[in-house]
Amino acid sequence: MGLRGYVLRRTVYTVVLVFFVITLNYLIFEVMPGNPIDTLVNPNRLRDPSQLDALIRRFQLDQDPFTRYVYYVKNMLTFEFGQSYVTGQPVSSEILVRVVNTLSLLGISTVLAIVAGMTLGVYSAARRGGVFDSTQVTSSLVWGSLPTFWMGLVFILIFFYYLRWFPIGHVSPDAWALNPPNLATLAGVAEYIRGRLSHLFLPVTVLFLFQYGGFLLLTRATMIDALTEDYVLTARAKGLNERTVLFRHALKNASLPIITAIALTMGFIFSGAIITETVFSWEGMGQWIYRSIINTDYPAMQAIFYIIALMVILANFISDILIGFIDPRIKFG
Amino acid sequence: MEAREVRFRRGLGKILHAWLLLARSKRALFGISIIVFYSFLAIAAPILTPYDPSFDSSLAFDHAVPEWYRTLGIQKGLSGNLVAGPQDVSNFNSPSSLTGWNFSTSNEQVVSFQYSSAEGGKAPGSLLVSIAPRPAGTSYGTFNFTIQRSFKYIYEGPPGKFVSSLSVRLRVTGDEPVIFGSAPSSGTVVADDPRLRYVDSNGNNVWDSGEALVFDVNNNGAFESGELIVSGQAPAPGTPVKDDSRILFVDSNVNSLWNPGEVVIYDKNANMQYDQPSTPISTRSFIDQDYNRIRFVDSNDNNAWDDGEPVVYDKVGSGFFSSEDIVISGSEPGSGTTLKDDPKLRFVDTNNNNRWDAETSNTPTETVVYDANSNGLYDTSETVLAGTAPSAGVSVESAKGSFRIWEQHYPADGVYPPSWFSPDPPVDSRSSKWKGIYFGGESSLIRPEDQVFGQQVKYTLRLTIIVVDRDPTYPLQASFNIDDYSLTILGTSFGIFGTDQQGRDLFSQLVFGARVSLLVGLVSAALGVVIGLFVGLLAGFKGGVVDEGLMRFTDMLLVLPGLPLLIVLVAVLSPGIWTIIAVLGFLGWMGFARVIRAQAVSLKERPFVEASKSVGAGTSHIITRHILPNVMGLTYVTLATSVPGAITAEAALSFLGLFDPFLISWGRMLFNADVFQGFFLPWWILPPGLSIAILSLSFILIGYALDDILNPRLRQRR
Repeated sequence: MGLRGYVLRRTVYTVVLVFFVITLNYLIFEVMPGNPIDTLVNPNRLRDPSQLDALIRRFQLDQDPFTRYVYYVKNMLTFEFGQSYVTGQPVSSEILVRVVNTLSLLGISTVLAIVAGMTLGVYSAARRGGVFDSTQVTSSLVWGSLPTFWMGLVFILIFFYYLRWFPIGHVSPDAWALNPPNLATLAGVAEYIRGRLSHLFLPVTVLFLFQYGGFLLLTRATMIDALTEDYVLTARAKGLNERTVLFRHALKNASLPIITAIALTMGFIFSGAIITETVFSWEGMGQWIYRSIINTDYPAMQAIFYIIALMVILANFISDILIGFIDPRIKFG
Repeated sequence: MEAREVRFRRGLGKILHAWLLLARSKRALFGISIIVFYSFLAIAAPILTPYDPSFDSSLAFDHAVPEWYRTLGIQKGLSGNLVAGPQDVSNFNSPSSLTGWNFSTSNEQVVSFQYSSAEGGKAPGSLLVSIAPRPAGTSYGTFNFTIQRSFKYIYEGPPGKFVSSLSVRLRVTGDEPVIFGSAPSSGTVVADDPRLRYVDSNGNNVWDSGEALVFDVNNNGAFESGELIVSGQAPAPGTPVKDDSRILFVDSNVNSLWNPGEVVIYDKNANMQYDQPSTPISTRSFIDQDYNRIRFVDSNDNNAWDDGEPVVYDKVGSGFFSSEDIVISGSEPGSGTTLKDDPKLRFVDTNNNNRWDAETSNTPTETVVYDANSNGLYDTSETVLAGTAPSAGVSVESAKGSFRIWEQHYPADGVYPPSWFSPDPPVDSRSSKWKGIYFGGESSLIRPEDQVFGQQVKYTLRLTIIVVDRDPTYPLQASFNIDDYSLTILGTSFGIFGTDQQGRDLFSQLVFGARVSLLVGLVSAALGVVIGLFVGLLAGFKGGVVDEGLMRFTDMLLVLPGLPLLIVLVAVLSPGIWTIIAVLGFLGWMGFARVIRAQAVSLKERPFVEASKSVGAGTSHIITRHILPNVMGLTYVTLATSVPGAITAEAALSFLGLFDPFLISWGRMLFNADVFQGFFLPWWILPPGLSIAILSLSFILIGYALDDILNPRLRQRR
């Protein structure tokens, strides 16, 4: 079996998993109490029963479960999630509004966390047992065990309440609602970037501190394994400088579990950070997810679970393919 | 028996050995001591704090600052709790409890104060104010009596809230009696039935209290056996019975005839309706503050009198300038201008009446000076504001008065505040019930300039009851019982970590929160580990379809987003502590199951398993004797490292609002802080958050140390 076979196998597996997720999603919400009609109309106040029938037909509730399932799969594959019970807007447009905010928050923090975590992890492994190593391990454990919402509260207390360095709440200054910066002028662009960054700083910092420790510990562990290998000894014996040995030889070979972890993290980026977004009133996916769940907004919840699962499956698929390209052992395995 | 003992000893030895290994690691020691500390908090919680974390509210004002902020002087302007009167809520419950109170009345011939052990509000014993019996035809007119107590307000800042309460019971006799049944409401129309007749024992042709009342069915003017006795002793048959047109009844069924069961009263004033006790009272409660009436207008707002600032005599005692006040020096301020107190503004009390003579004369002559060095004496360098300069060394005093900072009225026939205290009135008496009177206010609702308890001076808590003797036709005999009179001041500082939005003790919440966190962490981690172990061993050992099915299911659960799923499940199943534990346990086994499966797959191919199989050992034997012991190390490590996840997950759920409504956990403390304007109070948000972090960290550290000990291969490499 060559690379092509491996890719084919992963693709089939991924497609099966997607259908599995859609089916599960369908079943969960089929079992859950209530149906859309209950949310839309109060049957006691409905004068004309034919209206109810019309609604039932419109939502295909008169069809047998299998027909509805087929209809459901079709809608899921075309990203047709219906309308939010709460706002009445199409769910897909609700998502579009928030996904940019979430990606700017989690994208920045995750990329920073990966870069910092991997770099520090490599150096920690290289200086194993030293002061640098133990400081790094301890601090990443400490940051990782602090609850993010509490970190958020403390940051708000220090940097907003005491020091007044950063604003809190929402993705941009409140004043922009009335007069947004003029993006045609250079000063306006600078003002826009400054405003956005000042609002980004605290939540990004919280998420970064929470995330980087995991990458650091993972990189450190795999690097410690890799550094005992013979090819590292060979590389050192050749007289290569330490940085080349660490990054070009050891890290490349140690990177497989790291790539898997990165892929998984990237997959979850889309779902946002429920807690951090709640603490900072950040209008992102996480906050929306929480509100949808609490308001039992079923169309929104279905879309959320489907898209998150889809993203994670996709990320895993990409990481599998990547690993297949990087590690020649896997495609023949 | 012996074998069991040996096994037990060996087990003990193993534990001791593991403990010694664990104790070698500094991290593990740190972790263990933290866990021991929090376990102690959790177990000893009821001993450590007298308060219930959820239900003991209003222990102090809401959002109170820790008490040590006040005692150590970290924050200025704070106050603590204060109870004016005995610390015991039920006062007047012993004769000695009357000391410390002052009693006075406008009519000393009539009103007397004494202790009564017979009745009480919350506990037996009360203050009995009796009014001397008055015969018919005269009148006491309007008179009043007052109960008061002075206390010193000892805190430098105003309180958050003050609450005063008392129970009053009025007993009036000599009004329209109820002969049978329970008293109807005042003004009830009553009807006559001539067959309701009485035995005129004293022959005065009028019914008197105690005389028997019968229902003369055949209307023949004599009592026969078989006729109904409505009230009193049954007379001998043949006893003559008389009609009194004032014996009337409440015609409940509107048939104009008395029926057994209907209430019978004696309508003294023959107005054909039942009248309540005819003594209207009005109750007033006050808090007065000692007050320097010589005040100034603080033009430059520095809280001290400066040369040139107008000085006035606040005759009204309002704290604001009004036309009745007298300007001592400077220009006349506008009406309503705030007048401030400077204790250095004093006067020479020439006529020794303890008042500045503006109280008695329109042209005051007593000298007012500014006692710059506040030594109570006039020195020649000090400023004279009015009058002639006294000789040096003359003593100067504050113009004493009192300032009513708070007043509450209860009109005679007005509605009392709705709480009723026990006991219910005795059946025969028509005295009123104990009326609970409750009043109070929040200082934050009052303007800062007339802040309640704004100064560390003497205050007086005073209750005045005004009695109006309106109807001289009938004799009056009245008494009052007064009990549970106290003023509680809720301070702005309390306890070790202050209070939350309902005035509940945050330290108690922290201590009891340790229970929730440890319970959730340990139980749900154990649940997750057990499930993981079961699924992993089953998949790994069985292989084939079972393995494939279980592992794909595991993969799928791993792909599902964790926190949203958690929120959905907890929200749907309604949040309770056991729901949260179960959901966390059932969502926390997947990673561990995969690891165990891998171990089981490799272990089952080992020679010792094959050997065991070849001698005919069953699956359960192999699993419990060969595979399980080999994965136990990993299990302990996972147990330790999955506790923090559960603790933080519970905290996160609580922070989002999905908490057990009957418990206060650390996460819920932070939720409260976030929702109820506590997020900027460090003593509120730091302790629970740090506790979550430290407790989680200590479990992680123990997990790492266990990993070192139980997986020696890794230890060598590290």
